Amino acid sequence: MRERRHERSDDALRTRCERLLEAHRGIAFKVAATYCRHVEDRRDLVQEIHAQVWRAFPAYDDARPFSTWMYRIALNVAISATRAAQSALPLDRLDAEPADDVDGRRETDDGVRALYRCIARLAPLDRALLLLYLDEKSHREIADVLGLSETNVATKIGRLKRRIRDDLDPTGE
Amino acid sequence: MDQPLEIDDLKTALRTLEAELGRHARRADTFAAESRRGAARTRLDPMRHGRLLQIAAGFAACLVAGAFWARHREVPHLLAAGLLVHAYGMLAIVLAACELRLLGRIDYAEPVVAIQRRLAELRRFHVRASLAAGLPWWLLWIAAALMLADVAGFDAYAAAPGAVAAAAAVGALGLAASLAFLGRARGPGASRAARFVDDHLAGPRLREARALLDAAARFELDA
Repeated sequence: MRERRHERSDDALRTRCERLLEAHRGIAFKVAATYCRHVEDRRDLVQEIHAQVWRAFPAYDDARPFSTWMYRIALNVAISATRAAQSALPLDRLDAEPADDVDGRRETDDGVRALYRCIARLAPLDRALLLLYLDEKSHREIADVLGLSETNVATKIGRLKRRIRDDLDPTGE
Repeated sequence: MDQPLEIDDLKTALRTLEAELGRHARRADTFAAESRRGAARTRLDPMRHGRLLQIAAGFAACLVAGAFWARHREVPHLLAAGLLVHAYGMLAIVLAACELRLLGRIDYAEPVVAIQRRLAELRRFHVRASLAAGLPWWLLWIAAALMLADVAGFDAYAAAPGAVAAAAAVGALGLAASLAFLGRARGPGASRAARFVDDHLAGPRLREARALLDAAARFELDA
């Protein structure tokens, strides 16, 4: 009897986790796109992010936004995975050549190429900041995900925007 | 003429990428099923299992060495060999327990900077613990050999005291030289040869761990 009740609560937890993951699946994709250039690496990273979310989900507190919680997990997994693989694929090589896209096409979109150029020049923690900023998260949410003060986030974003403007300026002025 | 790109174009590019990845990703339920299977193991699990194994090996060493030196209290060299192996077993347990404690503090649902700092601390500790566990073998092999010889039924020290003393002297010299070398190889006046050897031992991993810690601290404080 108790076992059946336990199974039912497991099923409910699984269903809830699946529903939330489906609603926020974009987070894993965006993080994977920020930290991996190649399609297989992205798939592996998305898989690992989902696995960690599954593992941590029983401890998830409903009172907190799921997106913030999932962003923390996704970024922590991505940064750790990137560092572990750093010797195999140096980050600064990411902007060398356009890569095969998800379906085998070449990335030809100027914006996407520019995004990768900017990402490739940033350290892993700065990439997290850029991603959250581009995903239009508020300073408070960014501070919550990264564990910084809101003032610190505002200062860093100001600096990051200046740097990106310089990177995007073809005249180099 | 092409318009120069703006930051907002990057926001659009991110959404384009997200949409593309989403279109080509496997269905969410496939992901969910695979993730449930994958959740059973994560990147840090091999390290956790390794430390649990180390604790088991440490306990085994303590039990065997404890029984050994208790049996040979009257024979100084066998007593010393047993005590040395026993102490090493305890060191292995303590190092593994410390590493498990650091591993236990890593919860990916916590803020990114805090977790990255903890991962860097873990990495630094792991490298130092590996050195602390490896260097004693300059002398430890002699103690282990004396114990094994006793189990095989002969007293190696009594049979060849000069050879054992010479091995101990070489081991002590090797240990002292390794410690001095590790200290000097990371100093400003290190020779190329010293750096080369250091780079093939724990040097780069330790430097990398320090760099990661520095990067996390800079990111956190730099406002």
